[in-house]
Amino acid sequence: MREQMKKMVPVAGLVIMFLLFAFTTDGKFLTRVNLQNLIIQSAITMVAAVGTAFVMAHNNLDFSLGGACALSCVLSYLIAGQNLPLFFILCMVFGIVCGLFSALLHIKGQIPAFMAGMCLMFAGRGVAQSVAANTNMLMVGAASLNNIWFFLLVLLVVVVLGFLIFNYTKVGKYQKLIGTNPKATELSGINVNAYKTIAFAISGATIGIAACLTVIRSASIIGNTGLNLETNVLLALSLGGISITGGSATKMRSAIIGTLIFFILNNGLTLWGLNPDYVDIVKAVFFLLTVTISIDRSQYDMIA
Amino acid sequence: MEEIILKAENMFKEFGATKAVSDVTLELRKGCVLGLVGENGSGKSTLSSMIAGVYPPTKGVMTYKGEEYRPKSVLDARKAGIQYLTQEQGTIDGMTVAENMFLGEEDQMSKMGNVSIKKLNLLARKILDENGMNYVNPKAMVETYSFEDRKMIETARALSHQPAILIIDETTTALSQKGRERIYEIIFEQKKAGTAIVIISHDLDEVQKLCDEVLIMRDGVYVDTLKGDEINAHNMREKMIGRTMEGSYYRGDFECTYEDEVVLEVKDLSVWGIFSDVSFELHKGEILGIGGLSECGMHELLKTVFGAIRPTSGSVTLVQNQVALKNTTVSVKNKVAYIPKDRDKESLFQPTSIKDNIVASSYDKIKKGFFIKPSDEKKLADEQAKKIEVKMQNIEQLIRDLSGGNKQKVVIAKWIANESQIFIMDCPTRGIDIGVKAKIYKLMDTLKHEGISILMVSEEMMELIGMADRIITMKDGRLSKEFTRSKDLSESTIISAIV
Repeated sequence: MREQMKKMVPVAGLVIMFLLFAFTTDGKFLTRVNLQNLIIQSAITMVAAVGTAFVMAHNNLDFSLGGACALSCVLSYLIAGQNLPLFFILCMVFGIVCGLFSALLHIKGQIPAFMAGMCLMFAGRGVAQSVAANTNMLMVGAASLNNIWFFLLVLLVVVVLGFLIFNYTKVGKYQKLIGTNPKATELSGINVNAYKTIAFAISGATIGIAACLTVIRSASIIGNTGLNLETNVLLALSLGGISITGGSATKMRSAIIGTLIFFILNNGLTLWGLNPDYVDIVKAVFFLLTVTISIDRSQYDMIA
Repeated sequence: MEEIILKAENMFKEFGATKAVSDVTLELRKGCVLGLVGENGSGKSTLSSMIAGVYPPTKGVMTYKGEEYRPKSVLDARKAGIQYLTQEQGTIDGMTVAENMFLGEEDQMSKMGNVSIKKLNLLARKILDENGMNYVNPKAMVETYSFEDRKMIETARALSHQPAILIIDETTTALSQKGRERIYEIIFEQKKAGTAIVIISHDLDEVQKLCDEVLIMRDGVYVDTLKGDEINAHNMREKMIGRTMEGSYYRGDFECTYEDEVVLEVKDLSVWGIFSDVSFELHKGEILGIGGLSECGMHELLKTVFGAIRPTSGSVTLVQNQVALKNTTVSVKNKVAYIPKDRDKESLFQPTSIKDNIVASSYDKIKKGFFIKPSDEKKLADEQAKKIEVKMQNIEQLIRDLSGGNKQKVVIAKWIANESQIFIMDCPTRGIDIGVKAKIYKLMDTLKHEGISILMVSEEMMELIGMADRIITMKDGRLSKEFTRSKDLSESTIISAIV
C-alpha cells in the first residue's frame, strides 16, 4: 500500500504543480504561447531522457549527454554544412557512435560507464568550444522547422517507440533483468554485454535527435550547445521517480512525468517573477523533497 | 535433569501479516543439545534469531540465567554469552581474518581509542591454533579463504568466547563432509563443557546423531518434542509434514537406465588451478551425479560445462549438432539449462514476480516478431507454475516472499518453460525442506523418463546414491572413480573415493 502511494508521488506532484501555477499566475501559465514554449523546452530533455532510461534500467549512468550532443552537432556541421537532411542523419549517426564509444570503454575497458561518459562530456564540449571560437555555425534553414507541431510529432514518435521497446521487447526487458541481477541474467543465457551495448546505442540515438532539436530551436551551433543536458536529464528522471540502481522498478513514465515536472517548475517560478538565481535554489529544495518521498529504498531494506 | 539456562515462554513473532512464530515455548539446559526441526517457513530460524538478538519478539518473555533477557542486538546477545552461527556468510570481505574475528569487540582490545592491530593478530593466531586452524593467517584478507574456511573462522571466533548457548542454524548444509565432522566434534566438546546447544538442520540423520531432544515446528506453531529413542528420521518427518510419507523419497528403482545416445561430450576439460583433464559423456535420459568435497572443483566444473567459465583447455560439445558450448547464450539457445548452487545470488531476480522469473529465458519462444505480448508471458508462466505446483497466491507474487523450496521450483519451471533438454544442476535441493525435496526428486525422475538428461553435483551422498544412474567422484580437481547405480552402493564407499 505504501509502495503504491509512493508510485503516485510524481504524478500527484505534476498535477498539483500544474494546478498551482494555473491559478497563481493570472492566467499567464495557461496561455497558448506559454504552453507551446513549455513543450518546446521540454522536448529536448524528454527525448534524451527516454534514451537514458534504457541505460539506467541496466544500472548505469550515461553522463555524456551534453558533450556528446555538442560533438554530434559540430562534427555533422563540418561535414554536411547547410545540407539539412544530411545534417540530421549525421547527428543521429554521431550520437550513436558516442553511445557505442561509452559502451566500448565500459565493457571492454571495464570502466564504470558514467566515468567514460564524463570524459566524452568534457571532450565533446572542448571540441565544440574550440570549433565555435573560430567558426560561425549558423543554420538558418533549420529555423523553418521551429514550430510546435514538428516538436510534438518528434516527441510522440520517440516517446511511443521508447515505451513500446522498453516494455514489450527483449531489449527493454533484458535491461531490467540486468539491472536486477547481472549474474543471474548471464546464467539465464542472455548476452549481457550485447544488450548493454544496445542500450547505449539507443541512448546515443536519442542524443542525436536531441541535438537536431537543439539546432532547430536556436538555428545555430555554439560552444554551449546542449550545455547541462546530462544534469537536466538526470534531474528530470529522478523527479519522475526512476530507480537509481535500475532493475525491474525502472519505469519509462519517469522520463515523461519527470521532464514535465522539471520544466513546469522552471516555467512557473519564472512567471511568478522569481529572481532566476533563486529559481535554482527552489528547484534544489523541491528535488530533495520529491526524491526523499518517492525514492525506492528496497536496496537499503536488504542491508537493515 | 540438568539446570535450565534459558527459558523462552510463549514467544510470538509477526512480520506484517505473516505470523512467523506463534506461542512457542522452549527450554535450554546446560550440556544438552536441542534440535529444532520443521519445513522451510516453519519458524525455527525466526525463533532462534530472537534468542540470538537478531530481532525482538512481538510477544513473549525470555529468562536467561534467572533474569529477564531482552537482547537489543546480536552483539548484545554475544556479550551475554549467546553465539549464533548461520548458513550464510558471516565474515566481511575487504577485512583481515583477525579484524573479522573481533568485529564489534575492538573496544576491549584498544588503548585510548587505538586498536592494537598487533594484539588483535596475536589473539586471533592463538584462537585459530586452539581450533586446529594453524594454516589460516590472521593478517590475510578473509576473502582469500574458501567458504568453508571462513565458516570455520567464524566458528572459532564464536567458541573463543566460551558461550553459554551456541546456536547452529543450518551451518552444516553448506559444508563438506570434513567441515561437518569438525562441527560435530565441536558440538561434543561444547556439550561436555556444559554449553547449551541449539541445532537447526534439514539433515535428519544429523539431528538424530547429535540431539538429546528435538522440538518440532510446523507453520510457526509448536508440534511436539521428541526425546531419546523417539528421535528418528521417520518420526521427525511425519511430525514435520503432519502426515505419513507415502512411497519412496528418492527414485523407486535401482537400475541404471539410460539410452545409448550420447548427448553431451566433455573432453579433457581444465581450468587452471581448479580442475584438470575432466572427460565424461552424458547420455540421453541419464542422471549423472558428480560427488566430492566442496572445494574439489565440481561446482566450477558445472559452470564451465555451461559456458559461464572459460576453460583453459578442453572442450564441451553437444553431440547431436556438434556445437561447442562456449558461452551461456549458446548453451541456452541449444536447450541446456543451468541451476546454480547459490539460488539467491545467481538464479533469482529477487525484486520481481514469479512470472518474470519463469519467462526470463523464454522470450525468444513467445515473442511475435519484435514484440512480446503480456498475455503470452502470463500464459506461459501460469502454465509452468501450476504444472510444477509452486505454492503461491498468483504469478504476480514477488519471488522474494516465497520459501526456499518454492523459489527452487520457480527456477526449475523457468528451464522447463524454455523446453531445455539437458539440465545442469548444482546442489538442486540445498537448504530445501523434505516436502519440496521429495517433489524435486520426483520431478527429476519425470524429466529423465521424458528423455531429458541431467548432470547433477551434490554434496549429499544419499542424494547421489538415491538419484543418479552413474556417479563420478572428484578429488582435488580430478575425476577419481565411477560407480554405477545399485542397491549395494553405500555412503562410505563413495566418501572413501572423495577424501
